Formats: sequence, C-alpha cells, structure tokens
Amino acid sequence: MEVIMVDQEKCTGCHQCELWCGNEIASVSKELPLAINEDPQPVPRVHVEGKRFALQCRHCPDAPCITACPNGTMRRDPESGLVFVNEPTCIACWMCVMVCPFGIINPSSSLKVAVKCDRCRNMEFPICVEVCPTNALKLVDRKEAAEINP
Amino acid sequence: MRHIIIGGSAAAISAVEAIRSVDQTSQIELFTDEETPLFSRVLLPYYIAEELSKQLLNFRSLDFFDENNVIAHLGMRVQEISPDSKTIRTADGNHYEFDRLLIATGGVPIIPSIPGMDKEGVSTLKTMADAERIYNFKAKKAVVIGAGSVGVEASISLKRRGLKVSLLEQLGQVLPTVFDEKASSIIRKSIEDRGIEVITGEKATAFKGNSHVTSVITATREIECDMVVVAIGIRPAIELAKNAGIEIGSLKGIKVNDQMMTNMAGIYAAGDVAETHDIAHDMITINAIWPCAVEQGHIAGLNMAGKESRYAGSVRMNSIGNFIGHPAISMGMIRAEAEKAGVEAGEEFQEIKKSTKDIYRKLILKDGRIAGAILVGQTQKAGVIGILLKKRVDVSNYIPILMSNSLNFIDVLPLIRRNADKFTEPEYKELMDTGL
Amino acid sequence: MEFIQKKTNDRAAEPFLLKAAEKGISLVWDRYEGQLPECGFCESGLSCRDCLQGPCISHPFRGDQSKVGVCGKNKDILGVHSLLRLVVKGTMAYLDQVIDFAKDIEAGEVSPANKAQTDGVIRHIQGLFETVGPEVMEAFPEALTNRWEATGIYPEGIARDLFKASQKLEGGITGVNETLLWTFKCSLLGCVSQMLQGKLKSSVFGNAAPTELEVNLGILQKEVPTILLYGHFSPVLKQKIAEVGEKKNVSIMGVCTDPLLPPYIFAPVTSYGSQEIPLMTGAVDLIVSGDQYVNPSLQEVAREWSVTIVPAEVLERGQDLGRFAEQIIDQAKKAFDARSGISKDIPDVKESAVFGFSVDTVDMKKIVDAINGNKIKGIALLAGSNNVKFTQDHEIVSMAQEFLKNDVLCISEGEASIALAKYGFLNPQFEMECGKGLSGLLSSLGEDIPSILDFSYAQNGGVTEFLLGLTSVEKKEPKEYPIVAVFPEANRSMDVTKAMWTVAMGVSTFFWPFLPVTGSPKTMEALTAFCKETFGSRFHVITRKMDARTKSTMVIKSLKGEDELHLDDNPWS
Repeated sequence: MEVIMVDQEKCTGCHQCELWCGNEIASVSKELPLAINEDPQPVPRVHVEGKRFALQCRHCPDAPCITACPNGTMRRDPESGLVFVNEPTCIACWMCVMVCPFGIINPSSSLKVAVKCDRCRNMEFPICVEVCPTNALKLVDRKEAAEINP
Repeated sequence: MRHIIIGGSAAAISAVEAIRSVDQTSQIELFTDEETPLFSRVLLPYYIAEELSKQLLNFRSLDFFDENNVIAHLGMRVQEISPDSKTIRTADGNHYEFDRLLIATGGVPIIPSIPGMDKEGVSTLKTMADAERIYNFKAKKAVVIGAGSVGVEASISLKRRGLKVSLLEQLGQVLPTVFDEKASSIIRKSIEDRGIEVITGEKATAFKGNSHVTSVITATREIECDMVVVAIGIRPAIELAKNAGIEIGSLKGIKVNDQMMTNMAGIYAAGDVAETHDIAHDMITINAIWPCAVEQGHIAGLNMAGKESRYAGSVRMNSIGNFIGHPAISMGMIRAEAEKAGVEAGEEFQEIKKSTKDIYRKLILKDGRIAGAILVGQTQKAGVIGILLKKRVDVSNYIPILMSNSLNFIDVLPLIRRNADKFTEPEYKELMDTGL
Repeated sequence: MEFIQKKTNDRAAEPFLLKAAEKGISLVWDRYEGQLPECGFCESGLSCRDCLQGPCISHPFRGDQSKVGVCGKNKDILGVHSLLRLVVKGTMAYLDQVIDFAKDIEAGEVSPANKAQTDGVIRHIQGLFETVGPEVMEAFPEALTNRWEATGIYPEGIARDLFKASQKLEGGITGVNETLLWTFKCSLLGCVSQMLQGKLKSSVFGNAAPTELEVNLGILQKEVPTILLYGHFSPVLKQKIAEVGEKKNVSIMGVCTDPLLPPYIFAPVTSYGSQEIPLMTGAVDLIVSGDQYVNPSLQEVAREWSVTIVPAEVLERGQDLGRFAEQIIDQAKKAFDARSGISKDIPDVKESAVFGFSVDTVDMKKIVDAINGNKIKGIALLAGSNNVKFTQDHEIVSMAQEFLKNDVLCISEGEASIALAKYGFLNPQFEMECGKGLSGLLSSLGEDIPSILDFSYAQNGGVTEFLLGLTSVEKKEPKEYPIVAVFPEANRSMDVTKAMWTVAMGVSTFFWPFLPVTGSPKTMEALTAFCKETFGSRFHVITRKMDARTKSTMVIKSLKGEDELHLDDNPWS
C-alpha cells in the first residue's frame, strides 16, 4: 500500500499542498479564483503542521478511527487499503477526531462531517504530491518505508 | 471450531470481524434479542430527532452476516449458559453447542423504583423498540431524567422534534461523569440556549397521571409533561453469566483477563458488560462506550480464533460532536481527586487549565503522564493527547505545547521518538525518520 | 494546472523548439513547465513581501489567524496592493524611458529636428517631479480631466503620483477603493510619460510617416554582420548605432524595440515570446540589450551560438554615445568574421507590415462617422505582448480575425503590433477577411491601408494617441463611443499600467491572463461596479477559461452593449 511521506528537509512550509487540495478536492468549483471565495470555506485534507511538515492521514493498518466510528462511516477500501470517510452517513459525532493520534481529521462544523484525506482515492495521483514544488511529498510503498526505519 | 456470540452490537460484530480475519471457515452463530440487526445505539437520538432514517442507523451493511458467513438469530434471547456441557439454551427451547463463547450482552438501563414508572409515556432509551416508541409518541412536553450522554442527546432530539423539554439531573451538573464543572457549565449554556429547561440537583420522586403520565414530581416542584425519558444509566447485563457461575467483579461487570477471557476457559466477555483495566485511572472500570466495545470485541475475537492478543486496556472517552453545536471531548480522568481509588502515596497529580472566550482546555497529569483531558470548543487535535494518554508517555516537558490551541502532531514527534519502544506501529515508525 | 499543448503559432520559430530540445537548451516554455504549479497565493494576489515580518499570505482555506498578514493587511488590501505594486513598476518603466531619452538629448548627443519644440518637451519632462504641465493635460477632453480632478486622481507629477502612491504599500489605513484610485493616479503618470516620449521622439527625429518594412526571422541576412537591438534603451544610442552601422554595412534589426526611429528602421525579427530564437539561427553576431523586455536567458543561448552580448544599460556607459556605437559596430564586424564557420539556419518566413500611423495620417473624422453611421460596430485597441501561458500569438491573432470579420476597427501598438505583423495583419496587400462596413472604412482611409493600424510611433504614444484623436473630432469623451481595449496576452507591469490608464480614460478593458486580484472580493468589485460608476468603464478580470473565439464574441457583444456574461453583476466572471 502506498503512503505519502514527507521529506522534512525539503518541505518549505509553502502551503501549496493545502491550497491545491483545497481547490481540487475540497472545493465545489475546482477553480482557484472561485474556490477561494466559496461558502462554506473548502476544507483541505492535508495540513502544514508546526513550521514545515505537511501531514495527512496515515491510513493506519489498524485504524483507531474505524474502531471509534459508531456507524460505519469510516471505512477501509478493500482494494487499496485506504481509509476514507463515507460522508453521506457521517453524523459529525467526531469520535474519530477524538482518537486520531495524528490529529489529521478535521471536525468541520460548516460541512457537518469529519473531513479526512483519502489519499485521492478516486484520482490518478494524490494532488499534494503532484503540486509540491520541492518534491518534499512522495508516494512510497509502505513496505519500503518500513525498511527505511527498521 | 464452533463460535457462539451472544449479543449483536459493537463488541459482537467486532468479534465476528476479528475471527474472520484469521479463520474463514469455522462456524459462527450469533444470537441477539434485537429484531433489528446491526444498528448503532449511539445513533438512536438522531433517529428520534428525525435526522437519520432507520437505514442510516446501520453500522454495517445488512448483508454483513451473509458476507461473513455468520448464522444470525435475530430477536432470539439466550436463556441459559451451561459451561460444563458447553451449550446455550435459547428462548425457543433449542440448545446450541460451542467451543468458544463470547458474552457481549451489553448493558440494561437502570430502572429507578419511582412510583408511576410503568405509566404510558414513560420510557428508557436503549433498544430499537424504545427508540420507536419514543419516536411515535405524540407528545408536546417531555421530561428527560438524567443528564448523561444519552439524556442530553435525547433532550436535544426531542427539542428538535418540536417538543418542550425539561432536563432533570440529580447531581449538580449536566454530564457529571464526562465533564468537569467548568466544561459542563459551558455545555449547559448551549443546551439552555436551545430553549431546553435544565434542572440540576433535583431528583424525580414520582410520576403522576392516570394511565398516562401527566407530570414529574421532585422535592421542590411538579413538572407537567406527557412524555418521560428515563436515562439515568445502565448496568451490565450479567444475569446469564452470573447464573452460569462466571465470576462477576466488584463493579458488577463480568471479570476478564487481558485476553478478554472470563474465569471459565473458552468463555469470553467484551463490551459494556465487561470490567476492564482503565489506563487513565489505572484501575478496573467498566467503560461503556462504543470504541472500547469495538476494541474489546476485536481482542476477544482474535483470542477465540486462536491468535493470542492482549488488551492494552480501555480509556473512557466521550465526544460531543456537532450535535450540541459546541464540540467537546473528554477522556480519562475528569478531576484530579486524590481520594480516588488507585492513588498510591507519593503519586502526584497536576491539573492544568486554560480558559478563553470560547475555549476551555484541561489536562490532568499523574506523575507526569496524562491521566485525563477535557477540550471544549477547540477539539481538532484531541487525538494527539489521546495517544499520549494511551501509551502512557511522560509528557512533563511538553505541557505548554499540549495546552496550546495550535498543538499539532509534529510538535510532539520528538517525544514520540524518545518513546519509540511504545510506538511500534508502522504509521509511527514511518514518520520518525524525518530528521526532526 | 495546464500544460499548453502547442507552444507557438509562429511557424518561423516552431522548428527551433525541437532544435533547442535536442541541444538541451532551455527556452521559456521549458522553464514555465518547470515552474508549475505557480504559487496559487501569489496568483490570487493573496501574498505580500513588502517587509521582513513576512512573507505573508492570506490563506483561503485555513482559520482566522492565517487570513491577515502580520501587519494587518487583509485579503482585500493584499489583493489591491498586488495590483498597485505592478502599476508602480509599470509607471516607473514608462518614466525611465522618457527621462533616459531626455537626458541624452540634453547632453547634446543629437541635433533635434525641431529645437524649440524639443526644448519645450524637455522642460516638461524635467518638471515631472512636481507637476504635469497643463500643455500636456490639455490634450485630454475636459470631461476626463474634470472627472480626474473630482476623484482626486489628476496627475500631479512623480512626487505624488508615484512616490506617494507607492507608500500605500508601506502600510497605513486606506480602504480598497481609495487605494485603487491611487493606483489609477499612478497609472496616469505612466500615460503622461508615454505621451511625452512620443512628443520627444517627434520633435527630435521628426514625425513618422506610415512606413513599410518586413518582419520575422526571414529578414535576417547571413552575408553581413548582424546586430539585434533587444528591449528598450536610449533612442539616441540606437540612432547612433544605426548611423554607424549604415556606414559600415552592418545590418541592425530589433527585438522588442521600436521599429521606427526616423530615418532608421529596426525591423522586428521576432516578438517577445520567441526572443531566444533569433540567436539560434546563427545569423546574429551581436546583440545590444536594454533591461525592459530582455530575458536573462539570452546569455545561455548566446553562449551556444557564440553571440556577443553588449548590455547598454550599464554603470559605466560613458558619455560619448558615438564612441560607444563605434565600438559596438567594430565588435560586431569582428564577431562576424570569427563566426563565419557557424552554420546559418534562417527560415524563409517573413511578412511585410506597415507601422507608424498617427492622427496626422489617419482621418479620425471618417472613423467617427463610421461609428455614428453604424458602419462599424466599434473599435478594439489591441495591446500587450506575448505570454507563455498561451500559445504564442494565438489569442491575439484569433481575436483580431474575429474582430475584423465583425466590423470592429482594430488599432494596435507595441508588441501587439509586432505579433500581428507576423501574420499579415499590418500588410496592405494581405486580404484579411473584413466585414463590409470595416472594409469600406479602411478603403476610405487611403490607398495602402492594412487591416489593422499600428499607432506605435505617435506623438501621444500608441492607444492614447488614438483615443485623443478620436475624442477631439466631436469633443466627446471615449466612454461615449463603442470602444474597448483588449490585452490578449499581457505580460509586463507596463501592460497593467496601460490597461489601468485606459480604464481611467473611460475605455473598458479586457485583460488576459487575469490580474492577480482574484482573492480579494472588494478589489474585484471595485474594478467592476466602482469603476463603472467612477469612469463609466470596467476593468474585466475574467477567470473563466475560454478559447479565443469565445473571448472575441464576448468582447464584440460588449461593444454592442450586450453583457452576455453578466459581467456587471458577477465580478468573478
């Protein structure tokens, strides 16, 4: 399974990943000049944390958010292994927000759902990785990543 | 291997999935006294508020049992467990043999011995039948007794249905087992802003009326109503276990070890019915909340299927999401009460609070480890605090960061790295090699 | 993100793109793709680097604290400042051109054709620090000058129009509308500067008559030493180079430089977007480069083809321009000999074009009559240059074709003229498809009139000359005529400045790519409703992606008064 890794030395905290995730994924209009002024404000799924680290859902093999979700809204796609929010059934109870160790689930009171990265599961390639100007974000196979850090 | 599961909610279904993840062939038979399968009790208030249709209450698709090759007996009560013969007897007189048994019977609502409890219009809120009854009541004014999670959500649901609602709580604050006074007062205001009358510190002593309830009596007043929802708590449904001679704990829940097994080999218990070790309080508790039930069911299922797994312990956590309009999360200890059991001499508690216009945050530390946290208004990164609590990390040097509204995961990554032996899952290891 | 599929419409330049790829030479298109995606914050005008507490952005998708810069500039101020910054730079560019020129005249480097007039213009230029002379301003219709006074944007000179306006960027508490007015004020100084430059050229070098010349790569000659003048630098130096070059049989042509400087012609070898290509023909021995419009990337291409680069805008230029010119010619001749072994690959693509119309050579009354008599639908002023975000020349060519077909008279200037010239629009012999009314008008204007009239070398500079000429016929102001300005491929800050002053003169302006103000709702509204109210014209910021055909239709409809996109109620069109 492929996950998105961040090379902390290359991340400049430029926020482009957030901006384009917000535009391409979160917004309704998908066009930046219109997305900027949309109401409710689009909620990006990736977040630049602290100074320089773009963090998104880790798609944990044993996901606490799936455990905590009381109505099966938080699911795992059997083929890709990716964890995603089935928004139509989300009741904004935000139990998932409570248990996510990375704090990457966004409790959106404007959208009344939990907003979470699904690694662009319906797209060819994750947007944040595509737009990162310094290639700080990379798609890496999970097994490989495990080998890097024994 | 024949598996029998008594119960059909979070713990039971989680156990099914755990067993099937390891063993696709052994027989699994499941017995639940609910006619409606696979619905989430947590969502009943949403059903009553007419925000979710019945179908949307499901937490698994309706073909779950078929897909997982489970023989499901719906609306079938189990009357007796015979550990010696390893059989169970159901209400229709049938006997079923098992090699492994999971008791996931959950809890039953506490019925107060108040005169008038049996009048029409008075109901608890636990089962689908309860929910439907309340849903179908043609009432104008309701009194909800008990301001716990269920009571608070029920009162809001009924208000959304257009009823006048009064919320009556015996103790001095709403959500007394979930939030501290300060957080509770913020939430109380939210509730009252919706036009719900909140009365605390008063106990219902009687329900008046003829066949139908017409008012609730307390020490100081009479509240007129035509519906009463009683939500004063649940107690574990241990009758089956008790009668079978399975050991019951001091909290009146089924005692289990860290593999979720009872004192009888091959018989497991999980969910609201079981007593487990609470990480935050460091003592045995019954944490009757959904995620704990799922976790425990999972561990029980794995062990039943022969894959040895140990339960790290439960943590009480509650989230009031968007339902009240004021997000609030609480986990672990609520107050640093030195009198609470489990405190040894020399253990040091710290309570750190921060309160600004719309935001309240409190951390309780015990010997430098997080024992509890309350967040009101700004809850986005609660899980970061949660994982540090669960993994029992010493956070003494990180208090300002944890209390900050801009807390994020990267800020605590160095701490996690220092405790790498506790964070062995791949998702943590992947992030540790980041040069920070 | 879009990757423009076709890089250029110019078939002279196109083969060289492949050649560059094979040789591993980076051209503007490669670098553009490497830059993608360009910063969305800056594109939307939501960023600021004016001080060291930044750089700041207004984040459209995060919470409250990230929406306002450290000093307090919110998204609206950030947006209007993005525009102001461009206009300040643009006005400085126009000022630089005229003041530079004036200094060389004052230094006695050339004998002006009309000394008295020249002295007068130079006095005006010298006085620009604190005033814009009434003699300059009286060229404008009273309605305009009255309006500018009433709104407080009447040009007052460098101190106020440029320096004071620029200080808005430094801070202060000024609303969006007022900041926008300061921006217009600054742009008017740019307008005045271009007018003064036009006047100075005329008084020094004499008026230009419409002049026929050839454009595009095919005009390069391999048998003689060839110098290309790139970008803007002192017209006096250019003349000197041409003078010496003529004597010594060195061919002098230009890229992004005025084609006409009587009595000399600097034939445009290509337009801005393909400025690296001429060096790749091998036929260029030396280039003299200014700063404006010149790509630093020329160095890499020059190295590959052993082309000498002589920057004209250097610290130590020396006073004696004649001597400098001689040195340049000598260098070019030497380079020619040294480069004789380098193969020359000159595409056989060139086009005739007539440049240099003005109100003296075009009968403005006939044009006004044609409008009033409904013979033509309106007038489109074409400006701007090339922008790599579009297929080179495609937008302007397509739009020009549609305008001509639909009886819209087109007037062009600057780089826009050069782009059009490559495709025959300025060639009187080339039969462009024109609507009946327009054909009639063009025939009535003279014998050898091309489909599009270039007004670059004019007393009052480009589009301004045309507007002033138009309005003087009936003493009506521009907004009373169906006239628009169109920048199909705008590029520089100078284009932004020009577009702004055109709007201030009452001419609605269509501008692509859209201004970096889209993140600011108030700026978008100000450029529409507020401008409409104040000037009777709008600055169209169009974010919707549309092809050139659709753009033309939209513009033509707006000339007819039809607001198809409801541009008036919808700022984000």
